[in-house]
Amino acid sequence: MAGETVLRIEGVEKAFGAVRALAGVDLEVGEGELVCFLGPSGCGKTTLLRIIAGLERADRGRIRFAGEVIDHRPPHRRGFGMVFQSLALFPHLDVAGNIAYPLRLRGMPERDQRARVRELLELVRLPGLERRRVHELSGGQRQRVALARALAAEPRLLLLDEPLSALDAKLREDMQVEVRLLQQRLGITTILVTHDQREAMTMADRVVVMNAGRIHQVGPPDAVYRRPQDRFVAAFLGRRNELEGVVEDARTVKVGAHRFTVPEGPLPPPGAPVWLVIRPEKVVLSSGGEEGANLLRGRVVFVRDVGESVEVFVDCGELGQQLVVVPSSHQPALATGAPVALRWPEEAIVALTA
Amino acid sequence: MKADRSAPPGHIQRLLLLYPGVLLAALFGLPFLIMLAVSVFRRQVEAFYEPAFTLANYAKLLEPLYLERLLFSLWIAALVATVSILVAVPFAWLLARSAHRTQSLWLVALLAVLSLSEVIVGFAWSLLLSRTAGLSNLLVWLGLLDQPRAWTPGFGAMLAGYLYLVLPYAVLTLYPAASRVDPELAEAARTLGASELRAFLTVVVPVLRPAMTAGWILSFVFTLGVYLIPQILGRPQHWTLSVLITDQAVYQSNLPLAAALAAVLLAASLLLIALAGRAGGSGRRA
Repeated sequence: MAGETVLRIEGVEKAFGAVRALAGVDLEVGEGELVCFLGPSGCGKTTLLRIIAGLERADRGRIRFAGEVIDHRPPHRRGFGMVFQSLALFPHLDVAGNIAYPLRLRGMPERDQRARVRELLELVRLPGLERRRVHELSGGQRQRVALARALAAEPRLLLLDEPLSALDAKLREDMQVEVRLLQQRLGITTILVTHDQREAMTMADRVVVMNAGRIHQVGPPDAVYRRPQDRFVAAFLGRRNELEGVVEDARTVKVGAHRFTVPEGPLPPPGAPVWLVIRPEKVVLSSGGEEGANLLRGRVVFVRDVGESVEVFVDCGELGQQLVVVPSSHQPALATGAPVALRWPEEAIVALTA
Repeated sequence: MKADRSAPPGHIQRLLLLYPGVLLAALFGLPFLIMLAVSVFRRQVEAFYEPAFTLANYAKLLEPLYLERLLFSLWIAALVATVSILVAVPFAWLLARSAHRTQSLWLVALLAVLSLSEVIVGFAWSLLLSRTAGLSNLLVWLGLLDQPRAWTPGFGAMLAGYLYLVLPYAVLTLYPAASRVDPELAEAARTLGASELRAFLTVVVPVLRPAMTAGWILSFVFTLGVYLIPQILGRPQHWTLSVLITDQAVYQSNLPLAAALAAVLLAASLLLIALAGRAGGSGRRA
């Protein structure tokens, strides 16, 4: 966590009828930090964000901001800025009218409003667009106007609800970097909701992986990616190869007829089931002459060259299909049907019990 | 289908396209022209009317009675339309955001009201507001009133009858627009510092403005055409031009005068609608 805790979520629960949206969530967010709620649709991430914004009330639990309990405070008295998935730009107002809306509500003199709008448009790199109508803007421009409007009243917390989801892939990646740089420059505490793993990895200081109303794991993006705590996290963040085995001793797991040496760490007692997970780019591919531990053999099923890397799908018989990703420059000549060996380096293996 | 669209339309298609136009001309345009023609005919007391060209019927409108009734009619229509819209906008907004079941129940109820004729609505209200069997008896029983009162006929009773007839139309024109408004617009306004009421007034109402204009015009026109409510629930000084037109056409058998009155009422309301449309439309640019 970057600074000291400003937002504290304590045991928050929420149900919509029979559907449990949040099943007891605890979390702390530090000053100036960008925390990302990541999970599939329906995991409760948007509900949690709306509870923080005050647009939804928790059934149980508490939200503290800067030490104060804010559960009963309506959204307009919380002083948070929010960018909605639909962006929610006001169609009857022009760009300046949209950005000045929170300033007008606060009774700021017109001259100061104009100066602030100009300043904000420069901040989001849209100078001179004050008089433009909302429907005349491109997707990226709308996105920036919505961000400028959310920042206008200098909120103490910025809430972003999948704000980039309407943009096309390339623009979205550019905006991810831009929004992150802006957030770091302003030092504003930010919560981002997304289902896009790359977006979370690009932008977040810490990722909160959620599923079915629960937090599965919290941590910096690389830690969550490299050291998932359970199979859901491993599966949701990027691609992985997974093998189900049985614990043999403190360092060995048996998968079918194969034996895998795993890194030191707590393993369940011998005889218990365990899942071994490895990222496709960590698997070492060779032409098949290799011998030793942690080795799988199979035949190439399919090769996909996506430019920056090559993806090789290998059929390992009873162990199923495995994926290997190698950088393009290291590409060995691979033909469909060729026999290959896959080595799982010990240090890249994660053993999971759930 | 795609090939057909790029090819020039055949004779049959062209004829099919003409069909609505022909129907509209036959069922709407022709009667209107007949009415305009009759309005310049001369009345014959024994034989209805005879073809002629006289502006005498229109000259009658300069008489204080008709002029005053015309202004009163336009005023009451504008009043009823305005009150209807003021009630219908928040109602339609809340309805569009309530549970599906609630929405369908209300919509069925509103549609059911539309099936009631003016006569039934008029007499129901007249009974409800009467001294002998009306609501005031209930208030006496509750101890809020010392003796039963007659609230009909009167201006208030007439207004109640009008609103009962017109409100469903206003709600039903606003409801589709209200349910299309992105609920995140109001929520965005709230996170930006607006109270619920303020968010409604500064964001939802402006966004609904075109629908409000359309609903106002519809309510206005509908109110102008009502001719039984003022007779059942109002006093003679509350009678509108529509009542006088009915009286001339049906009881006095003076069709030329009725036609002339109707033509002027139509012209006046078209003028007012154009003004309202302009006022409602310009708001989107401001």
